[in-house]
Amino acid sequence: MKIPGHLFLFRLYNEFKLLFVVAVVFIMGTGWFALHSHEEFPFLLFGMYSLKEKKQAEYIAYTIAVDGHEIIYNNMPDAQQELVATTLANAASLKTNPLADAAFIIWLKCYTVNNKPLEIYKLTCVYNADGIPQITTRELLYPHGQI
Amino acid sequence: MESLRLRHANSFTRMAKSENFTKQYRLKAFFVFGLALLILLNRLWAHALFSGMNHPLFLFRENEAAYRFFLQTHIPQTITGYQLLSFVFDLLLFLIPVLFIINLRQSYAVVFSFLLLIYFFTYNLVTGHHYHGLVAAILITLPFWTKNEQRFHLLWEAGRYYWLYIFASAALWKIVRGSVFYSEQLCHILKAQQLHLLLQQPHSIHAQMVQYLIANPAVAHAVLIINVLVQLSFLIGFFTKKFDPLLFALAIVFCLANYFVMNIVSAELLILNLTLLNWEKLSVWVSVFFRRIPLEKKQ
Repeated sequence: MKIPGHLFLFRLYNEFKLLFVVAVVFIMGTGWFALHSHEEFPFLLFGMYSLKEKKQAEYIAYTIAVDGHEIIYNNMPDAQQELVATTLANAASLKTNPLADAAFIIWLKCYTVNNKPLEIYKLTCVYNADGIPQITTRELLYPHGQI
Repeated sequence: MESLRLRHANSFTRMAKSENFTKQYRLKAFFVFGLALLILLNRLWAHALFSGMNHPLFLFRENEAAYRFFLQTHIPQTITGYQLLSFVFDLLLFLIPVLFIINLRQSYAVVFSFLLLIYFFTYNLVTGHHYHGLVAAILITLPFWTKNEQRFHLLWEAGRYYWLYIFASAALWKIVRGSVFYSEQLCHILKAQQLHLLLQQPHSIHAQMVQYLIANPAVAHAVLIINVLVQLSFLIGFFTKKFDPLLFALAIVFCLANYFVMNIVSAELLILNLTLLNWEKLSVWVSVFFRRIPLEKKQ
């Protein structure tokens, strides 16, 4: 079989052997991890929400109140929103180890409020037919002064 | 005599070629490192660089080997554990690309790639979410590790293929997993993804649009299908460069739509969009533009 000379990998093989090896390892590694639906850096998988999203009976949101005022996530720059909201959601869902909880709250207090009163709420919501979320329960996860 | 003339012509072509490469290299360096600086400025403003992430860091446990290894090195803990050190690293993140744009020393490009990699791991360790956006900025700095024309072009082209892979694979995942055929897919994603927006700013135009999509799954499904088609169209880039300008525009449209519909910021990935530009044309335009300025001033 004749390999077309203009193929990128073929050109790499002829002109830049090291990059050829890196590219082959990358392609094989990504393929292997894709087959196992598992991601390992640097073999990144860009599914972009490709997993089937099933209907949930309830949806959970975490909110932060500083000095009695709720933080509006959308008013934050995006990288900060990710840093606060994602970290909070991940930490709250891992809420098993009290020491880790304490470390997280200390971090969050330093990051967001410089030790002003802080409260974290867990909101459980259901959607109505018009696509509007209704809060069914509002649970105070971290009252001020607990830690 | 004839061979001498030929040799002369060849060396002239080589000189013109290398001059052209130097121009393109400088221009690409300006755009790549300039955009990387903008990304970093945005993150500085968001208090999301090393000095902003706070001391000590709260770090999640990791499943991925590379992240576990990085934690073992204690690099993120050390950098962010000392305020002064974190400021120094932030400063380096800004200083190194500026120095590279000025004098194009390869060592600066290498150092900058590693600095970005350290930042990438640290940020993802703090959020507990493996955000991919910064990979684009790391990848596109790699061609600048060399000044060898042939190697530079091959590395740049590899970056282009990676950009195509990101989109094409996203479409293929959705097709293989069947989620593109699931009529309520986007509707359910939005319910989870945009909950904060709908609770905190329900009367904003953005929230109204999201609410409409949730209430109308058929429309949401159509949006998802269009999204997958846009992503799938990047497959053509593996076979021809003819459609690169169209793909360049589609990537921007995708990132804007992704932000407004899903509240996902993929703007940082857009730095790889530079690999789809026709740099020969661009360098001609730039040189024409800069030649014109003094003429206009004289008039």
